[in-house]
Amino acid sequence: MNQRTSDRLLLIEKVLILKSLSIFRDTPENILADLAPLMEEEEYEKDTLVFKEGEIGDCMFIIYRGTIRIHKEATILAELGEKEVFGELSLLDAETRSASATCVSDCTLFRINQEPFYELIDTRPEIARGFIKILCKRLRAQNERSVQRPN
Amino acid sequence: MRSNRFWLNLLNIQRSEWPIVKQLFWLQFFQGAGISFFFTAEFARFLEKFPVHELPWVMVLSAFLLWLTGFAYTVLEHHIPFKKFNEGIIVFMAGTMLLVRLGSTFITDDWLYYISLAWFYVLYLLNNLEFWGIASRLFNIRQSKRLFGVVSSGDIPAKFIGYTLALVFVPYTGTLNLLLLGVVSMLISIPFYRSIAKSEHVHFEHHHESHVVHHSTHPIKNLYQTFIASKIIRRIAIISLLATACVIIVNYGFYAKIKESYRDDVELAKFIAFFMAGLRIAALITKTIFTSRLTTNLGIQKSLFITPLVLVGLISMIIGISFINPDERFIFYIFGASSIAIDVMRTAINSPVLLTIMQPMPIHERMRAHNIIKGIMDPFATLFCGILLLVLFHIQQEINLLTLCSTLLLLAGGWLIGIFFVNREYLQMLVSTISSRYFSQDDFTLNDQETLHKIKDKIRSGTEQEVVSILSMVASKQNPLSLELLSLFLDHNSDAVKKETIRLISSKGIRAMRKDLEQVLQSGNVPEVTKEATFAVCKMAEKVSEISSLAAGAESQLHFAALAGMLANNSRSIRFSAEEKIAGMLRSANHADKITALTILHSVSDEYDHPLISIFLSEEKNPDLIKKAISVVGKAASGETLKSCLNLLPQYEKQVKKALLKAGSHAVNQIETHIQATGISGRQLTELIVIIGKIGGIAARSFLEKMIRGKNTDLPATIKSLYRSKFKADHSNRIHLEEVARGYIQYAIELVFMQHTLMKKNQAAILLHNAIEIELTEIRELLLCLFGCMYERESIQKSRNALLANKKETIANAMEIIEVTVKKDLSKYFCLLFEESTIEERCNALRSVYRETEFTEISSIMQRILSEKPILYQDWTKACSLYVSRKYTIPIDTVYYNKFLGADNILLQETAQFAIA
Repeated sequence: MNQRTSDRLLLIEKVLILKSLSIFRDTPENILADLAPLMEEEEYEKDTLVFKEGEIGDCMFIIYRGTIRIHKEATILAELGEKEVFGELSLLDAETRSASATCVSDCTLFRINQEPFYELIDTRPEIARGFIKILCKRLRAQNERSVQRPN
Repeated sequence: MRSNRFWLNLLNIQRSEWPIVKQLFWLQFFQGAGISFFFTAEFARFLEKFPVHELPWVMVLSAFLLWLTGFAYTVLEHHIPFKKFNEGIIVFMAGTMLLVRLGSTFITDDWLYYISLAWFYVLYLLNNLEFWGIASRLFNIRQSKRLFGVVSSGDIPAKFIGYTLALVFVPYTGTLNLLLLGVVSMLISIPFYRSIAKSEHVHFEHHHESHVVHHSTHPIKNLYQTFIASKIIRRIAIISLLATACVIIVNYGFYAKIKESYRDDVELAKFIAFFMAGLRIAALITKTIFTSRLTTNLGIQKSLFITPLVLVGLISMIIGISFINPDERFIFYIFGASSIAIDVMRTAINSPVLLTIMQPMPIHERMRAHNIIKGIMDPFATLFCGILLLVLFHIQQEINLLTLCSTLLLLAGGWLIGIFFVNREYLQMLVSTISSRYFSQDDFTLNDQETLHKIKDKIRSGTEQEVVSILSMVASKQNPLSLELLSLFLDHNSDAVKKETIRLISSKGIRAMRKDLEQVLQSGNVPEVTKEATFAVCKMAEKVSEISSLAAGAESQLHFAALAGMLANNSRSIRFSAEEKIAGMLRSANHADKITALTILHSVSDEYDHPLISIFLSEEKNPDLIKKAISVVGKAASGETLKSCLNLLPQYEKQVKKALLKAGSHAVNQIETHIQATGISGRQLTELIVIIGKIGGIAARSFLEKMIRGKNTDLPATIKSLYRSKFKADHSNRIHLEEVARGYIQYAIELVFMQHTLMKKNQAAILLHNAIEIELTEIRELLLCLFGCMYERESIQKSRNALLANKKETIANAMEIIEVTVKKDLSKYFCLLFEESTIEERCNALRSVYRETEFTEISSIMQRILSEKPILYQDWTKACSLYVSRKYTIPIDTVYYNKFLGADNILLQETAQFAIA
């Protein structure tokens, strides 16, 4: 992380960013309004390592501006652009990161930490629903794949 | 036909449905015309050659032909793709009509006349199976209710035109050439069918995109099983049979008298054509204009009664008049009128409503039900009527209208009873369609010797987990608990089983197990088990002397367990000595002593409340100790303790809320007193209302009901809590709740009109539009909570889940449940507001009840929201209004910005600052 800037976006605009993400597509904005204050804006310069494979993950990131490369050492797994999310599973558990994330360009990311998120879902379980839906979708896709390719 | 708003409103069709409805209408129009040409030709030829009393033989013959066709249809429909199969049926119908035409030229034997007329019934059946099979795939239950009347009315003008043409052409062309017109008409329907199949290919290929449906290899067995297994299908089939039988008999009587009155064959054909044409036009008007409105306004269940009740009325009138005026011609006219009325009602009301009733069924069950009704019961009705009429003619040697009337009265009586039974099953079917998973856990007894023996074996041989689950089963199912079983559990090798058993003995206060517990104490190998046993023995002791050694124990953990047990004891003297020790610890200056005392009190929070806790909560300054002390509040908490606890709500909201929930129903009175005494409002009041709803019980329900009637309350939170508390309205409070529901419906209507205005505006409006959608969803939720309190809670819950599933079919079923369960004036507007349709269509339907002025500008909508009228609106909606005002420079009065600068909600406050900057 290179520098932390003061919040430039209004909370209402952060809500609109959250709503544009696939994990929160079905979550109403009035509920996302409670999540928006947890978004911490962070600026990263090109080639900065956001997190390293094997680190304990305790937050997720939303790409507001820039491109992020997800990789295992030299092997590139994906390149993510604006309004994409990475590290989201770390909001739910504290396992190690399965891959590293590095900035391909100068990036503005929003970080959501696990602890305040846990406190929020205590009172706003609807927030967790978006996550559960995505996980179910992934699990179904995984099942489908294993049925199609039994070997 | 122009698809303008007037016609769509008149026909009760939504704009998006219009293309498919139009295609279906024309499909049915051309097929209906083809069949009417065939009928006119063959019926006139038959009556020309044979007397009317020969007609029942055609019925008997047609019954067997219909069964054969139904069988072939059922077998083939599962083997041929839906699209090809239906096209094949149209070609087959056209082909057989052509064959009859050619056959009639070369064969002049009597049998051909019988078979040709009987074939009309087969064509009629095939057309029905094919057309309704397609329609039931395309529409859900809510659409079916509105559209079946219109789409099926296509055959009525077709038949009207067919019969009119027959009337004109028969004297010149002869009857046989009408068959060729029938063939052409049938073939013309093919392009319409193909167009439907193309535009609705999803429905024609797989019903669900990701769900491949496997057909059974035993379709007939399936039909039989469906008939046996489904009560509602059985009942629908029976009323369908009775309805068909009534129509056949009434028509037979009428034709017989026509034949007697019109001896000249051409005149006879003309009369039949004229009669049929008149009948069809009456049916068309009824079906297109009245059917959907009747079913929408009366509901499906009541609409079913219309036709048989009219039949009973008319037939009773005929019988009554026959005693006053026995003139046969007069009776014949009334009978003719009745015949027309019944035929019209059956075609226009009864058949579409019966089909609508089947719509909530799963697709394949619905198709099977349809096949049972059309393919099995209709032929059975024809056979039954054929035999009955042959027997009657054999006995009376004439066709007597009064005898037919008496028979009709009997059948109509059965029909009405059948409808009553169908209606009883209907709601159940809707509910079970939504929740296909249902299981009931029957009560069972654990006191018979054989079961006890098996349980003992399992306790001895089972693993730890198995034995723990047997223990919990025994604890919940056996009363009184078997001491023998408890001893066996205590002897188990597992410490977890021992601990659970001791807890059970202690919670149930089974003193007879004291000796066994003492043995556990003596063995004293495992500290956790010993601690549990110490607690249990001290809790159940009758004298202080029994436990003096335990209370004075040197080992601190066992000493604390003994103190906790003594506090939970029913004897005042035993409790007293422990109470004194705890008081000393609470007053101690030592932090650790206080923690220990609170830990002990926490372990017995549901059985004991220490008198010092209330003071401790008021006076203690250390936040950690306060949090620990709040956790001591439980079911046994006194009024004073709860009062002190509630006073801590602003600083320790999370802990206090948890404690109040733990305290349960007797916290309700204290919360009520707290609300009244402190006059709290805003978020904290809402939180307390929510807690009361979660606690539930009589006191909670009574308090919340009072809150609903009061003015200074958070009405949405109170409504939701009332529902959560399982409130069931009686007559007096139902009236008030209905008023509240009507109010919310009005608010929702205004919101829809806001959306209507926003629709026409630019990008700025999207944000507001979406915020209003959230408001509408919230009102929908509140209305469902109110309905749940006033009507059948379980059905409303199913409907709510179906709405949350947010699929076209589930929403349709949810609306149907609401319509059946909720009072008419509420359900009607609920469905109009929340059913799947465009905003424009919703506004058209609701315009007559919208009391406010329509919004013309986005600024007037924003000002309405920010003035918090007629509802408070959510902070998000208000924030959106403020944001849009600044972002898109839409000026509004500054008073609306200032108002929210000091809002509790950070988002609203921040947006107000942004807007005013």
